[in-house]
Amino acid sequence: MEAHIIQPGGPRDVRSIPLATKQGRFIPNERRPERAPDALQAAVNLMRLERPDARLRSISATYNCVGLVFANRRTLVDTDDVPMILHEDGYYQVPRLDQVSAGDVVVYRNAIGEIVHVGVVLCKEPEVRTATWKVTILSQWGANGEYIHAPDYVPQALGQPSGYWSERRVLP
Amino acid sequence: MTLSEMCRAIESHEMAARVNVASDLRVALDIVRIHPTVREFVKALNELGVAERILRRTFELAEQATDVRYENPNDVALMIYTWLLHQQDAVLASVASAAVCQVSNLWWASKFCTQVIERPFGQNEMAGTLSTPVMHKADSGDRLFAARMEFSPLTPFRFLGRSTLPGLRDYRDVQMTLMPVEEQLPFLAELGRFTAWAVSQDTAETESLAA
Repeated sequence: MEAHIIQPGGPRDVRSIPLATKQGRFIPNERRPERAPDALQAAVNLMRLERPDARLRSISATYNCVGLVFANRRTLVDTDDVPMILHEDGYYQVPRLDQVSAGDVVVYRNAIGEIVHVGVVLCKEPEVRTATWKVTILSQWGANGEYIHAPDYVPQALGQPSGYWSERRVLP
Repeated sequence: MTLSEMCRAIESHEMAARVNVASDLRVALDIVRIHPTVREFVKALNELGVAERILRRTFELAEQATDVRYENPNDVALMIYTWLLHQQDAVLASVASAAVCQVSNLWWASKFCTQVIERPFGQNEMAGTLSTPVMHKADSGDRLFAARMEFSPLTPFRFLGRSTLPGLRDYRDVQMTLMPVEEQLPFLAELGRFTAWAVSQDTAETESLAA
């Protein structure tokens, strides 16, 4: 027998699943147990009270926002790993809001610049009255469910949108 | 707000929902820190007997039977109580963490308590006092801790990681460690001088792994 050394959420952790970037680097992840129905109901009630204009899409605690965006809702991935994933999956920052497209990723940061949340752009529509764009996001709010919402309409702990990222490729 | 009312608030579904907005432990602890009830609790910690009462309540919650199909409903409360104890007294926090680490189906509480227990040697003089009774054998998914045998009861205590093997019998079956990479090889080289405890996630069983 030999000693195998891993990190929590690493490839040998019983709670992780095989998950890698496009470049093949393992993405640390851990599956979380589902929460009981009454706990999930309480979460939905609280979110409905605090963010009534957000629309619940699905309620499950077994993945987080990063897991929704980069792991197809299968597991939890730490927000600290987002820069590595963006880099290794070939994402680039979208410089202007008018260039954002459905499927792009929005990254949220807290007051000291740490990444605390991510979401996916569902759609972008022109806002004629204000001559700007109305962007709609889909994101998982911790373990409290997936919501469809305006970019800055998230619980306070999830920070503010700090930029849009895309992996879109176009023919030359 | 009385202490009982504060405990009810900490153990409520609403508190769990507020903390569970977080995607990682750092954000979860940020939410806890600024919550009005928690702040009130922090002030109350200076009163005689409050910390001991929190510790007793932590043990009560840790021993509660829960539905194994779901995450432990006391997860957030256990994290907050341990965090409160950590603000007041490192020994009490370590004792609470040792108990919480044996509770099944936790998430935040498990992550925070592991941090408390695995603090670096230099910051962890009291960790040896938290060893739980040594019984039976470890199981897959158990958490493993190690301490030097020849030291005093206040021996520093290290978290190794989780076992992936049922019936763990030997330290060489330990499949993981949370140590920084540069510390791993020296640690393994002298592992024979350690006694390890396997602290179960699922069955509360522990095993001494005398080298």
